[in-house]
Amino acid sequence: MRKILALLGALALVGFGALAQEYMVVPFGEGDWANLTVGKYGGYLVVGTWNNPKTFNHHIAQETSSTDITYRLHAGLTDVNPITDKVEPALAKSWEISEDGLTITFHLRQGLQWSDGEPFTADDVVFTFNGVIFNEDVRTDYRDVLLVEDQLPVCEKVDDYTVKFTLAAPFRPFLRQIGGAIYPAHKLKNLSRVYNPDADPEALNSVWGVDTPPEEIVGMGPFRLKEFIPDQLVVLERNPYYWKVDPQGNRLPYLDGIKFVIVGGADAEMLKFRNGELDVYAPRPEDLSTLIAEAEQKGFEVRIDETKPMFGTTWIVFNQDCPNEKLKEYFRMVEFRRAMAHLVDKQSIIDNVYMGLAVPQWSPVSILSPFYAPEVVAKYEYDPDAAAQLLDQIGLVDQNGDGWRDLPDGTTFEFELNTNVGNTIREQICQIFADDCAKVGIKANFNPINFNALVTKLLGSEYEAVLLGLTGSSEPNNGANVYRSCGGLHFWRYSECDDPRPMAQRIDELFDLGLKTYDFDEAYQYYAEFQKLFSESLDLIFTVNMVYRYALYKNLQNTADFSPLAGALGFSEYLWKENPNMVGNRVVG
Amino acid sequence: MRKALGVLLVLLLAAPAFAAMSAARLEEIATKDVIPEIQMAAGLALVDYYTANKTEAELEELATGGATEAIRTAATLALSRVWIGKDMEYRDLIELVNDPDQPAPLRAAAVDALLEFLIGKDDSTLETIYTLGRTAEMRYAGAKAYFFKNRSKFKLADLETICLDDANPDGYRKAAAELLAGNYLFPPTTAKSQGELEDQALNGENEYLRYAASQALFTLVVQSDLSEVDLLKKVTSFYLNEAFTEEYKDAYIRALAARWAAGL
Repeated sequence: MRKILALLGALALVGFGALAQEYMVVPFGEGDWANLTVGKYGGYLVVGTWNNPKTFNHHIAQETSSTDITYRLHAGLTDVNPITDKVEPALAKSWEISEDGLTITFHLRQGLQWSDGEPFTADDVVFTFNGVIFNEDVRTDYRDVLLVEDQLPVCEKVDDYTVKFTLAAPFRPFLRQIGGAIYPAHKLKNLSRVYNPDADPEALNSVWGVDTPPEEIVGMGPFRLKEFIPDQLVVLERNPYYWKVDPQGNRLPYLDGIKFVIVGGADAEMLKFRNGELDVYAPRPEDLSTLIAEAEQKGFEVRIDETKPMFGTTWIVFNQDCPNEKLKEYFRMVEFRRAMAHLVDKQSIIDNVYMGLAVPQWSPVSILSPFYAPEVVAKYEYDPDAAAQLLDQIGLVDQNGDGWRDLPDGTTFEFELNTNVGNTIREQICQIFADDCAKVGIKANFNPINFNALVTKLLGSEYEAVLLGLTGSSEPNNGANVYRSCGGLHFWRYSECDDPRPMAQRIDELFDLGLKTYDFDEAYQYYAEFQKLFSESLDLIFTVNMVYRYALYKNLQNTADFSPLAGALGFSEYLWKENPNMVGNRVVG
Repeated sequence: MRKALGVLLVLLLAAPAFAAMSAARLEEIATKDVIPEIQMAAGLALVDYYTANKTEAELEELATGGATEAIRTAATLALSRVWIGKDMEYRDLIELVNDPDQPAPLRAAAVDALLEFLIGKDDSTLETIYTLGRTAEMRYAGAKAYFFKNRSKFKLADLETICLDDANPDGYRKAAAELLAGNYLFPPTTAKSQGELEDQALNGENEYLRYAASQALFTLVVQSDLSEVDLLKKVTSFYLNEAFTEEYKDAYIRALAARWAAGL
């Protein structure tokens, strides 16, 4: 039996009554953590957010307005190091993988407590997976990324601090993807029909909504919810039971908490940052000249790294299940989507929207991922003539000479194009695209709407065309909930789950194959084929990818390793403030 | 002779400044130094200190009645920051900024706090404000909001044209110049060197182009290797020296202030 012992990391044994607590020591000043230092307690990290959270239930949240918050409340068996992107122990201090790669046994840290003081044990892990994530009642996308040959792992308790997972087949990214939030059995078990047959099947979907009293939301993360004032503020406070310490044994986080100021839009956020009311800000290209001119005067710095495109994607999507049957027919034609791809002027977007600080995007896999395969992705360059030819071919021609192409019945071919209002970058891209559509006689009616309403429309398949973005990572399987036919975010064609196209079936196979091999080169080939197929199908028409840029006030410490992998929120449990009484450049208390 | 005497006096007065600077020392310089430019540098260095340590009432009093222009400027800027964080009512801010009978420093202090409301207005409303506002500060506030909202639409050449056109309102041109200053630093394709900015701050065709260059020049000077002593000597050399424009001097005065403020 092959035993692969994972890196243990250092354990801090803290005597606490009869039970030693196996806290994790974060080795500031050494190795990968060399740029971080031991800090001091106090102060809040203040960040801007554009929208209210829709839920505090991490496993059903599908939008960043919620997950930016909920990620801070929870922890998983494993975690991804924000500096190195490597998988490391978290709530599990170690693990073993069987020789055949099918059984992974996790050994949990002992003596840990939930944010309400209750003990953390294997029962919580087993409940989370069997009672929540694998439970079909729960509308969670997390389930999608754990499928191997359409089967979920089997999760079993071995003892109070040992949990075993058994897989149907080897699962290459398992250690990365098993790091999802662990939920408290003592708070939620009764809501799961797996444990309580009388429970309401919707209970785990509706629990921890935005009206929930903060003390009811319990997690193992560095922070816990303190307050939510709709349209104004979300406040997280330090979790007094958090299980990480610095090299001197001081419990993390250093910060008293995080404040998410709901600012309503990009301009308002930028202004608040300039006014010193926020600690950090991710500048849009049009912000940079103003910020660089003010940085010295106001005490912040602006970081730009043109060698690092951000993770994630920005795309235009046409609803292939559109309620408008006439539009649906054309949206389902790959020739139509190729025509639309030929109308995305990436260079113009890079030059005029991003001021040169972006690169063209052609693939669903992030450029910084080791699986990115630029050599195979199909590229439909900006070419209005080619677009016009394709549109002619599929019968969309201007029948009445008014300048707009028409449907066969003579009515104008037109569609509504949405994006989230207040995101000026996306609004500009939409306008450029709509203008280019008009040049070839396609009427795109641009209408920006509220973000949460947009997400509802997208996920309810009620839209016609949308420009939006997805987060990304270095692991392609993290996109399984998007690219698999039955994925929860397969929003361009939810009907594909029951009736997959051959291309979609092949992508499902490739995702299975990519999971089962531990050979990187072999996995690379599978994901390369996926990128080729997807870039040819243009179910998402990618635009461009902005390079890394960030603005932050100098009072904030332990920020040296901010990168596209993680910024202030990703590092929030390690940050500290030189002057804890300052937000931005303002003394507040 | 008088100039040499002035330099000697400032060196004598400034001698303790080569030790760690304190707020009390800066106030003394801002009030008593013989050289107005040195006074102003000290005043500007006090802004953060005043923001953190003076009450609103004290700042209002200093802004309107402080002993020197340097003190009044420091208090006005500090008051501006206090009012931003205070969450004032839009109506109150409008009444203050748009009233010619209100003291000019208080009107000026309220401009940035008003900006947060004005960026929610549409362009035609802002155009009305920056052309027809009752006070210079109101017109400036409207223009600042307009250029903030539309900053992605203006390229460097557009902004320079606006600055040069005498038909444009003053506040509008000043706000355009502030946006232009950023373009002189970024993106790299339009960035000017320190030498080019110095030249423009001295010889720019009008006060707005010189102002834009000055704002950008300040950033480069602060980031340079010039020491506090170097900056002190430079600012001292401005005394009674008509070879330098106000805009040019302002860049170095503000840089000296930044050095002093960092040492507080």
